[in-house]
Amino acid sequence: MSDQEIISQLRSGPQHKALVKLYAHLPKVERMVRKHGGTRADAKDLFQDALIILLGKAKDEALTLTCSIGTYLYAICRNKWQEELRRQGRFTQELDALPDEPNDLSAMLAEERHFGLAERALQALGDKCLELLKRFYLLKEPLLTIAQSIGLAGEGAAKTRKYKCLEEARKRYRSLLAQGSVANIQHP
Amino acid sequence: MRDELTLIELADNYLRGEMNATDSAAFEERMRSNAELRELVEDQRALLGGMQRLALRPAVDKAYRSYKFGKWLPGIGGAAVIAILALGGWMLAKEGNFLADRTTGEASGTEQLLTLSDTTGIGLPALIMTIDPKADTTMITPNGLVVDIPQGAFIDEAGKAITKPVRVTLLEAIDGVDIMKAGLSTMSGDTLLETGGMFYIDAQVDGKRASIDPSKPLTVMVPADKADPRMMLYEGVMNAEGIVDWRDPQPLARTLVPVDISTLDFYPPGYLTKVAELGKDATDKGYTDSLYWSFSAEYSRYTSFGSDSTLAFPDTLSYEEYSRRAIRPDPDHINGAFLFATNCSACHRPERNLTGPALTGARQRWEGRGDIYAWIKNSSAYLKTGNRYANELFRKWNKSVMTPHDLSDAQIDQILRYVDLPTSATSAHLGIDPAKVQAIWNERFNGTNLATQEFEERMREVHRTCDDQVLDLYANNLDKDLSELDSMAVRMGHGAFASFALRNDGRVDLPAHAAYRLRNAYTEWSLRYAEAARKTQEEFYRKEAELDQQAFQRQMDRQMKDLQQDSERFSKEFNANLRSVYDQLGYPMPPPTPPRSAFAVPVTNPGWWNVDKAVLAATTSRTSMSYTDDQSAKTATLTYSPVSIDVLDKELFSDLRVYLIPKELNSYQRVMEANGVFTERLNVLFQYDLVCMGRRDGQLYAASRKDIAASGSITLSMEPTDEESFRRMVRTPQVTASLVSDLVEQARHLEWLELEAKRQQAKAEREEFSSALMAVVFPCWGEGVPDE
Repeated sequence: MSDQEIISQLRSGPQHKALVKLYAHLPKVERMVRKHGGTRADAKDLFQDALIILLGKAKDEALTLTCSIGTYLYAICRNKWQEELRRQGRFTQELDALPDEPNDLSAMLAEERHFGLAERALQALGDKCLELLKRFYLLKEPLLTIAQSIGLAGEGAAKTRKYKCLEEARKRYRSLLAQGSVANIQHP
Repeated sequence: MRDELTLIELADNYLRGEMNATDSAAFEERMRSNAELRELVEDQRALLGGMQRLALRPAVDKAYRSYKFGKWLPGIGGAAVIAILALGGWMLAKEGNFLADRTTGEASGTEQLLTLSDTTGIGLPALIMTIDPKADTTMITPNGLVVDIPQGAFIDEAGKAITKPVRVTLLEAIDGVDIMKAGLSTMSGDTLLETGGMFYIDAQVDGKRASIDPSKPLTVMVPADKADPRMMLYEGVMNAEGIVDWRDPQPLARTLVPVDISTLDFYPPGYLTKVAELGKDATDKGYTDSLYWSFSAEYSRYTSFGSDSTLAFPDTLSYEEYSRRAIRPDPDHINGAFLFATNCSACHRPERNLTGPALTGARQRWEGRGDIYAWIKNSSAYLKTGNRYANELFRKWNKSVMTPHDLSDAQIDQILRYVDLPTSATSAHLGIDPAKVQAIWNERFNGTNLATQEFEERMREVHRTCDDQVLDLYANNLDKDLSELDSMAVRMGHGAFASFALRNDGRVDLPAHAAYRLRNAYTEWSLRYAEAARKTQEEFYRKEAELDQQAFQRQMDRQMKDLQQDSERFSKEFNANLRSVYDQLGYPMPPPTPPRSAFAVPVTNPGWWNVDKAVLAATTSRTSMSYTDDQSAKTATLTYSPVSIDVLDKELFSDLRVYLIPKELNSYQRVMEANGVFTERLNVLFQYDLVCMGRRDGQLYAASRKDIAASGSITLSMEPTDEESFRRMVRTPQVTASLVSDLVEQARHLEWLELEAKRQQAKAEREEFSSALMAVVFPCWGEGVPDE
């Protein structure tokens, strides 16, 4: 399966086979992470984040990679691990980069970092909140339909609930963001 | 709140691109001037992104499980492998007899030398022994000369094996004094020899001299401090003057002395030191062995699926099938690797050009252009056929001639298949697979080249090459001299073996069929041990993953319950506040509605509506409020007053929880910690109890305070307690049993968290330990990351 085929499968499905194949790049990331003070689990987390980023990008018709998918995934993981080491104050040197890594990742990764924190904030919400938000933002269901399917009195109720859920998520997101920046200040 | 709602809606529309251009521009303009709005939009954008990620995660997790557990599907060949191994073991044990059954003789006394066949050497101490020629015998002299007499070595004049007891006499003159005493010279013709020692062997039966069967030579090992490769064996012949002249020199193979293989050290250099450094018992071989073997699983993780993104997955194979093939070194590949190492590696590499071209893809290049088999077997002959491609190659590669190879078509196939393997499968760049070391480092290889100190020295160098093929080379050629294999290792590109090659080390004599069987056994055992290590490790990780999953579930459940509990508490507090405000304003309470739907009830009276919202805002933010009704001109207030709680020695506790119990609500709420102090605002409508719990060294600690005063600061001192005392501590007439149980459940959750933290810590320590060892076990670990 070529890179192009993998991307088109990620875009239009079925994704499973393509994703499984992409995991063939995990050991290299593991090696990099474990060589630099991380664990297997760290590597897996990084790699899965990278896969999610790739999945998100693949949906975008305009995605063109300047390197192989493997290099792309590796580059994301390497950058994120570098950042993590820096955050923990363990940063010592530049991690090994691949020769043909794309070098325009930093803006994208900064944004992704926010998405990641937001994801964690959302994960901590109750199931109902999450379902409501998903239906509204991802499935783009109208509020009335949502209200009916999750047992709320009406559109207004759904709207208020959505507001509360969003506020809650935002509060958590803000506090995660604050924790992150505190750590950054301690270890410039 | 109305404002907020509208803004959020606007932000939603903006972010979802549902705004027209004008509105969008206006909105952007508004954002520029309003930092708060900008932040709101940014946050909302992030949350949208987070939501998308959340939605993608299950697919990624599912694929991980397929990858991980698909990869380790047990093979079907397990039972067959075991049967083959058992057979191999039995054969080898039988072969091993030729060493094990030997009897070591000792001098039987000092008899006179008069019976010797000639009289040179009188004056030297003699070792005389009567032996049974029907059994193997080994004699060792005081100077360390070892004579090995195989069963049936002595024959009579008729050439028949002697069965009667044979008297064997050994004389030795190792140093100069002995040589003078014996009247021996060190002359060979006119040349003075530098002697490494002389010895004399005599065997007699019934006073007659016995001969030695040429097919069963005795083996004599002469101890030598320094092996000089120029040393030769001379035969002593008495000349007319009665002086021994040394003639007919033969080169000496430096015979290897096998030792008990378990006394040798085949670990990677520095392994035991590192283990000791990491605080483990490096003297316990059982432990260090199993630790080392376990790294075989790591080895296959990092080498079977290379980093190579060009690694092709043939679409006709299922993924699982492919990965199973990829992780199992195929014996065919090992043979291919061996044939490649011995025949081709002087001039070729699979992946790059050397004296000759890179061999990967050679078969494909020859496709339709000529006969690659004929070319490999005898390239000069094939050139003469006028084949265009062959002649093109010949010119391109500086007209260097490829030496003819005595290989069968099947062997050539094996080589070509081997060189076409993905790079990651042919070159490990990591180290030696511990499973391979395990395969040779056991008693079945006793009595072979591998069970020698000479090989132990090479083994250290083998580890440093990080090249499995070098180990294969030695293990697969037990019937060859070590020096010959050293030269091959040099040709494979490992110059460090040159110094070994110069030493001219020989071999431990081994019948060819035993060498062949051991070679097969080596292959099978390597595979089997690697498989076993993988399975063990995989089972271990599978269990850990299961525990992780359970822990995650448990934490999620707890979180759900907490959220639910808190939202119930919120509703109750909200209703109480509302009731209080209505009382203060003199309005009747509106009909009770389910609190959740309260917001959706159509509002007819604007005053009430405002009251609701004000109360909701006050309850949500826990701030005091004062509201004056337009119609009645009455004022209602809600008061929240801050309290701060400090806990003595709080850093000693792994997880500290402070709960407030508003008794009128029959509920509890958790107080969050900020900047080292637990702060919350108390609603003056209620009486609060305070309870704090934490864990320390596996013990529950708690403290409580009844009816705490608002506006104050409280310092708690934690005492060890148990569940029952904790229950009593929390219980008051106002709170229900179910609330007490809820808090006890929280305490149990803390206990679980403590255990879970321990488990995680142990996991991290294991991980760290193994990471620390990786670089020693695999000397090339860390090299070439990334390894393109």
